[in-house]
Amino acid sequence: MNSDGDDDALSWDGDDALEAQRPEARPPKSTPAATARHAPSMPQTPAAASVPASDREADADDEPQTVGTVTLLLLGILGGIYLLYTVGWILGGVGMQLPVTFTLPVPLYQGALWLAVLAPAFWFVAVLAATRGSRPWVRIVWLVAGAVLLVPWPFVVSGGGAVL
Amino acid sequence: MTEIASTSPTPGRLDSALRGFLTGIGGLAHAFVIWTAVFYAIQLSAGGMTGYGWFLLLLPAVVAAGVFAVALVLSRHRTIGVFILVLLAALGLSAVFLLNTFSYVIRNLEALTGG
Repeated sequence: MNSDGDDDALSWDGDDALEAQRPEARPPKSTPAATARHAPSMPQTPAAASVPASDREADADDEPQTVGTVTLLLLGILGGIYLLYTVGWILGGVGMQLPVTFTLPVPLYQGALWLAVLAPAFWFVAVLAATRGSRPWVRIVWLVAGAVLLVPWPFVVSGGGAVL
Repeated sequence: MTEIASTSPTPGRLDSALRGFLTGIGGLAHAFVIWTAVFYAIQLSAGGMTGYGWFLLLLPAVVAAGVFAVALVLSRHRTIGVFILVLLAALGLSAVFLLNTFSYVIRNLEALTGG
């Protein structure tokens, strides 16, 4: 007699005799109770209970998912920084326009300013596209390099985009 | 098989022509940044300019040319889409360096012009 309470609740007297008559005994882990106990350990795959046991072996290597989560988090942080850079270039560039256009024609300055405002977006998309098949750290390194190179210094040194 | 062999050079030539056209457009866009830097240097030098001032004002032009060359080398064997995006990113980086230089120059104008 099985001493497990869950199995007792889901079985009738005489099941053991039926089990003995079966050509192949059921593996204990394939019971619904065992599957239900296993499911909370995998929050990413709520439908894991309905997945066949052979397919569930692919979920054993959870490490790539962890790396993917960290990469996704870093991409979000760097994307936010790039978005702030865009705002910084708008404010810093507009604040710097008057003294620069004293000697430079406005269309030339406006063209350069537009390019600088769009530079963080260009860099972010270009890195994502160019490192599509690369390892995650390569993508992060290029994005960090962009975050270093594209700092809106006119905004930073003016203390918030005020006219210099 | 022979049909495939006879038609395969056409997409390659088309790709090469498109790549050449995009390189020209990217070069023109970088030339705009270079011209802006040179124009600003010439305008400011009317009242006199130190050697350091010339170096600093012409540095964005040199950087833009260098960035364009590096972008071409890096995206040479990539797809057309990646090629365009890398050229745009290079263009943005050149403009960022130019405006950073402008910001420095207008805060140190007297030291650079010798006045």
